[in-house]
Order: sequence, then C-alpha cells, then structure tokens
Amino acid sequence: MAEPVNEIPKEFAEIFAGISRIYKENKNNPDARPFISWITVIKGLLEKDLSGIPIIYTNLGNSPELVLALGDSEGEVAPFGFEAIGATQGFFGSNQCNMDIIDLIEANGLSADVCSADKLALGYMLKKLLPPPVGGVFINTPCDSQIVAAEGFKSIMEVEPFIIDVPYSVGEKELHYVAKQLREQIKYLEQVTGKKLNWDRLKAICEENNRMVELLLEWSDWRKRTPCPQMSKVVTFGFVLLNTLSGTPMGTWYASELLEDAKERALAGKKAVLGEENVRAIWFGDPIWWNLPFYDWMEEELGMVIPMDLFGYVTAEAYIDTSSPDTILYTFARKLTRVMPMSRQLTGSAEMYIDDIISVYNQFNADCVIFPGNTGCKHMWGLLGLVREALRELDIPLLAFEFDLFDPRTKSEEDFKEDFRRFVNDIIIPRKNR
Amino acid sequence: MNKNDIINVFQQVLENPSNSFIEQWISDGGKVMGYYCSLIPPEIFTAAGITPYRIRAAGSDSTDLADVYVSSQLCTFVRHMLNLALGGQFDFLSGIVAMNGCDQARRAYDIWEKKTDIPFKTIISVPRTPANYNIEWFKEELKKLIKAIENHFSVKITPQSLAEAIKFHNTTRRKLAQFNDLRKEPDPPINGYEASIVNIAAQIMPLKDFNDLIDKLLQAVGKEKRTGRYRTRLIVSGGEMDEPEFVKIIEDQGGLVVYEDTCFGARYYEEPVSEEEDPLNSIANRYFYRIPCARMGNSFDRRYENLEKIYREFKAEGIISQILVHCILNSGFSFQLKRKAKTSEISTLLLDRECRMKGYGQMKTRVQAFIESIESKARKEDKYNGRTSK
Ligand code: SF4
Ligand code: SF4
Repeated sequence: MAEPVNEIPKEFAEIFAGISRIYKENKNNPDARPFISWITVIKGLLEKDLSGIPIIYTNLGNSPELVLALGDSEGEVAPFGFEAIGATQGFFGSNQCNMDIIDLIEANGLSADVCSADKLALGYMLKKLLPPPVGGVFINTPCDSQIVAAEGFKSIMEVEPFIIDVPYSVGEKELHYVAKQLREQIKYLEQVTGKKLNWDRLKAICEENNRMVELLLEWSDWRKRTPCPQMSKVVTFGFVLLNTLSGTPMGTWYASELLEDAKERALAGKKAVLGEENVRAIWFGDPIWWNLPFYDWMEEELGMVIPMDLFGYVTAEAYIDTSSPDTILYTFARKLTRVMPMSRQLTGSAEMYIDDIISVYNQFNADCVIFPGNTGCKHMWGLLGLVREALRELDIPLLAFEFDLFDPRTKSEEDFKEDFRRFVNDIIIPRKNR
Repeated sequence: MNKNDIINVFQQVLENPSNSFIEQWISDGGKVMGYYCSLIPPEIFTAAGITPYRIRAAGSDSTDLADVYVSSQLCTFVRHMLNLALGGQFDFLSGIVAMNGCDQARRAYDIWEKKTDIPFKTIISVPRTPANYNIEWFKEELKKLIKAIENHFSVKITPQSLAEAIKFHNTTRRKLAQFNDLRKEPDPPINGYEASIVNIAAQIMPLKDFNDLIDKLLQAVGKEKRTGRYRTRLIVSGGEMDEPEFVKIIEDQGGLVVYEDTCFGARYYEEPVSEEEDPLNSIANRYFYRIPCARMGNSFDRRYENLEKIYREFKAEGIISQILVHCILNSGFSFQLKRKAKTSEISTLLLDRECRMKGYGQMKTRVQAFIESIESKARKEDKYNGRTSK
C-alpha cells in the first residue's frame, strides 16, 4: 500500500504510517481477516479526494444516509463523521498526537470533563487539520458533549450547525417529533449544499443500509456461539461503521467480510482465544481506542473474549422502511435514537442501559460484564450505582473502572492488565469452578 | 424592620432544605412541589394550589449517600442535592418535577425515582433547540405535566387559574427586577451577597410570604446607607449557583457583584410571562424563547449578546464565569467565552468551583488577581477616577 506521507500534515502521516505498519504485520495472519478488511475500509475513506465537494460534518449520534442522498448522483456531497478522527488516530496512528491535541484544546479553555472524542474533534478543528465544511448536522444524543461540540464547531469553523432535539425517552410520539425535525434538516442541507435531496437515491441508500443491517444481525448470531469464533476487537468498529458507512457499498462489503469470517471460522471450529475460552465478557461502554492490542492480550493471556460490546450491538430497529418518504424518515429517526450506540442506551431512564446489558449478557451467554467508565462520560458515572445493584441482584460479576478512551494518561496499560488479571483469576474462574 | 432584619429572615430561609415558611404552609395543609432547573414553569404548580420549591443543595455537608450511586465524576451540586434526597431531607415535598436539563441531572432523576419515597415524581422533556417547529412539542409536554398533576393531586388547572398564577409570578418577577435594578446605581444600596440571598429565597418559599417581605425590603433599602466601598463591578455568570457565600468571597476581595447571570439569579426573574394571550401559550413562549442557558444548542451568540447588554446597563467592568467542576455544558459556555474574550474589551475570568466548598484560598487569590488586572486596565484607560474606591 502506498503512503502519501509527504503531502499531508504530520498528524495524518502518523495515521497512514500506522495503517501500513499494521497492515504489514497482519496481512498474512489468517485470524486477522476482519481486521485487515477494516484497514482497507479506513484507508479508502482517508484517501478519498474531497476537493471541490461540499462537506457536511455529522456528529457521533448521526448516520449519513440523508447527506449521501443529496444531489442526483453519488458523491455530490460528502458526509464527514468528524469525531471519528480521534478514533482513527487512536487505532492506527499516534497516541502522542491525540494527547497533544487534548492538551491543546484544554489549554484553550475546554474543560477536561468534556468527552475526549469531542475534545479531539474540536482540537483537530482548532489546528485547522480538518477539511472546511459547508454545514454540520448534529443530534443531541448521546450526551451533553454533543451540544458543546456543536457550539465549538460553530465558533471554530464559523458555520451554522443544524441540531436535532431528541427528547428524554423515545416512543412513537418522540419518533414522529424527530422525523419532523429531519424534514427541517433536509431543508437546511439543501440550502447549505445547493443540492436537492433525491428521494429515489435515498430509497436506494436506505436499502443498502438494510443489506448491511441484515449482515450485521447474522454476524452477531455467529458470535453468540461458544467458543466465540472471531477476535474481540472488531466488535467495536460497529460504531464507526454505523456512524460513517451506513448506506454505502463499502459498509455493506465490510459487514459481509465480518459475517463470512465469523461463519467460516465457526464452521471450522476455530475460536478467538489462543487456548481455552475461559471467560466471555460483555463490554458495555467505550472501548480502549488507544490500545486495541489490549484485546489481543486478553484473548491470549486470560482466555477472555468479548463476544459483543455496546458499540457493535445492533438490533432490527436499524432497518429503514423504504415504502414512502414518511416511513423512511420515521424509521431513520428510529435508527438514530434506538440503534446508534450509546444513543440507544443513554436516552431515557437507567432501565434502557440496564435492560440492554442484561439482554446482551443473556443472548451472548456471557460470564460477566465490563463497565468501562470514560472519565468524561457523565451518563456512565451517573449509572454505575444502579447498574451495580441490578447486576448484583442477578449475581452477574461486574468489573468497573475509570479510564479515558483516547488518553493513556488516565489509566496505564499495566494497570488495566492488573485489574483484568485479578478479576478473571480471583472472581470469574473460581465462580466457574464452583 | 430594617434592611438587615429582612435580609436575615431571607438568610434563614436559605440555611436548610426546609424553612419556617414552608413548614407553616405544610402545617396549614399546603403541598409543595420540588423542581430543578429554571426551564420548568412554577406557574403550573401555583395554578394547582401547590407551592413551587426550587431544589438546591442547602446545608449539605457530605455526599456519602449519593456516592453509593453516582461517582465523584458528577458535579457537586447534583451529588449534594442527591445526598439530601437520599437522607430524607426533601421528604416534606409532595412531588418533584425534573427535566432533561443535563446528563447529570437526568441521571440524578433515576435515583430520585427509584430511591426516594416522594409520592409524585415526573420528568418532562424540554427541547434543546428553541426552533419554532419544536415549540408544539414543549406545549404538549406542559399539557402532559398538567394532566399528571391533576390526576395525582385531584385538582383542576384551568386557563383561569393559570392566568392568575402568571400574574402572581409576574408580580414577584417585577418586584425582583425592581430590587435588582437598584444594583445599576453607582453606589447601590445592596450588594451582590444580599441580592443573591433574596433572589434565591423567592424560589424556595411561598410567594405570598416572599412578596410581603420584599415589599418591606424595597421600602427599607431607600432609607439605608449605601454599601460604599468597592474596587470594581462584576457580573457572575454560569449555571447553578445557589450559594450567596460564593458571591461574598468575590465581594470580600473588593469586587461588587452587580448581576447574577445564573439559574438561581436573573434566569428566574427576567422576562415576564405575557398576560395578554392564552396562558399556556404564554408560559410555553416565555420558557422556550427566553435567553438561552448552556444546555441549549446553538445558544452562545444570543446569550453573549444579552451579557453585553447587561454589562453596559449595570456598568460592569468584568465577568466571572463560574463553572461547577465536572459541569460539561457550562464548561462549553466558558470555552466560548474565553474565545470571545480574545477579541472583546470585556475582562473575563473563568473560575472553577465546587458546590458547598469549604476552602476558598485559591479562589480568593484568583479573584484578587482578576480585580487587579481590571484596575490596572482602568488606570491605563484613565477611567479609574470615576469610581467609588477604597
Ligand atoms: S462516551 Fe459518554 S461522553 Fe463520550 S460520547 Fe459516549 S455518551 Fe458521550
Ligand atoms: S451544574 Fe452543570 S452538571 Fe450540574 S446540574 Fe447544573 S448543568 Fe448539570
């Protein structure tokens, strides 16, 4: 793979260099097929030439279908999931670069308490490293950091954002309310891009989304098998997939790669862990984006696998009903609020999160739950007590810890390892041997 | 009663979760509705014959009970408030109404809902963008709230009772505005500490009692000596700030606080509800379109414009933006304020604080330094002579 390292800022050169290095390290590893596919997808995204194309920023809780449908042919407007930049740097590039950006934005007055996904996004904007947008569509889920990001976007990029309001809880009435706002959002998008939304193309894009969803649901079923046939770390890409690639052939292709790999491995009797599968854990919060190899360590040293996490969990509510423009908007609203990772679990009362955790725990035949408390995530920190209580009642072991999803300075790799070793060896294994 | 006597009465009202006026109201058979956030219209409770009570962290000195459920990553306002609730200190309430103000307050409502015995509990959803196409939603939420109160308390909230409640609350607002406008004077008869005691008291005692007392206060201040000495005039901005003691620290350093752009401050009494139109529409309009706070999306420009207006009207010389540690939304506001400060004439200090904080050492030093910087700027601009100085 060629690296256009010299033409791009050093921050992005780090990402390309990392992608090439990781690609080389993994390309001959038969266990790494879904990971290699993911690298291919990300590289494709990063190398896309956006010059001359109006760019619309979309935030964490969003999905790109409406933006993709602007104009009469494909690619007239480009959606840009700007918060994914920190994750891409964390996955493939340099943690030091992310840390420098975090320091920069904090030095400019943004509180350390804002979710680091948004600290990074605003920091990259401040450093003028992101492409200039003509507009930005925001949704106020999953959390308050989205409002801060929208305000920051407006003042740094000097572009008026459009914000969808999602109410406290989500039922039918709420979905109609969100759908009504989506109609307003379309007007905004048409105005800032000068392109009309093409409903026929939107229908086709939503059907593409539905193909991807179908593949993901089937994939998820294969991961329910014991032992889990496929590596842990790929589940977490589900979030970027939904947020960035929904409705695109590339998204569908990646979902098919995930499925084929899981199916083939399961049928061949292969498993994710190196030795015995000792522990199946549901990871229900942010991943350690800055240290994905940690998941490999868990599999190798502890025989611990994550069959599903909060970012990879998709339900059938992600299907978009393409019968009419009204059904498209209504079911797209449902996808945004009832499927997008974090938004689904953190909208409404604590039950939304707790019920999901218990359901995923049961569906994936798990032994325990991991509660990763991202420092900036006030939802998670406000939920911990009730989650602990609910799981204790069901006798489900829980490992909770504080960390930062992009910043290794909050909790080091060694501290993580020590916590996990103790949890598995002192709590889970003895319970299983009872 | 002279000014100090009346302020003392209000001060006692603030000391603990309950107060003698509320207790009297309850012993006379009255009911009290707790609510948090200045976007919830207390007019609705008044129309139901229930006294509105703005929940705050009064008198709390620990977060032990709250810490069982929520982490120290949440703001201390929420943790102290929850601690009081879990300790039964809000059990005098007949109900609470929450809203989706911020993530932390929402999570706190989970705990109220599950772990307290307050008989009526509900949460409403207030839009986060004041776009015209969302106001119908807000009205529907208010109607839902009215229905829930009617059903639970077996009362009827009629357009007429709402109209009367609006008048009643507007009367209080007018009196408070008149009272706070005194702070525009070059040498105001009240300082920020006293004013913030009065502003908060209005939100935690029966309005009739409050209105009687503030009438007396308005008469008394005319006869009082002026406050006199100060080095500069400041606006305190931010979110929840229910501690006059915080204002006092600033004033002890010589910065006279002339306005609180906060939830317990001006956001309560500014902008009356229209008495001309359909009462529910008027209520919805006032709360929906008012000067936005940090939880509203795309709100900074309007809020800043308002701040500039106040800054001029109250002849302020600096803004202290106080943020409770861990408050994401108000830290977002401060971030914007800091960006704005680079190109603005207005001196701005961002000040982190904790609710019910005990040691103020570092804060004093920062306030002192800020006041000195304003003074030296004024000296350079040769404006210093005009002020009443030490
Ligand atoms: S981890 Fe929490 S704070 Fe960060 S984006 Fe998700 S919901 Fe928001
Ligand atoms: S201070 Fe901030 S975090 Fe705390 S309740 Fe208010 S808005 Fe929410």
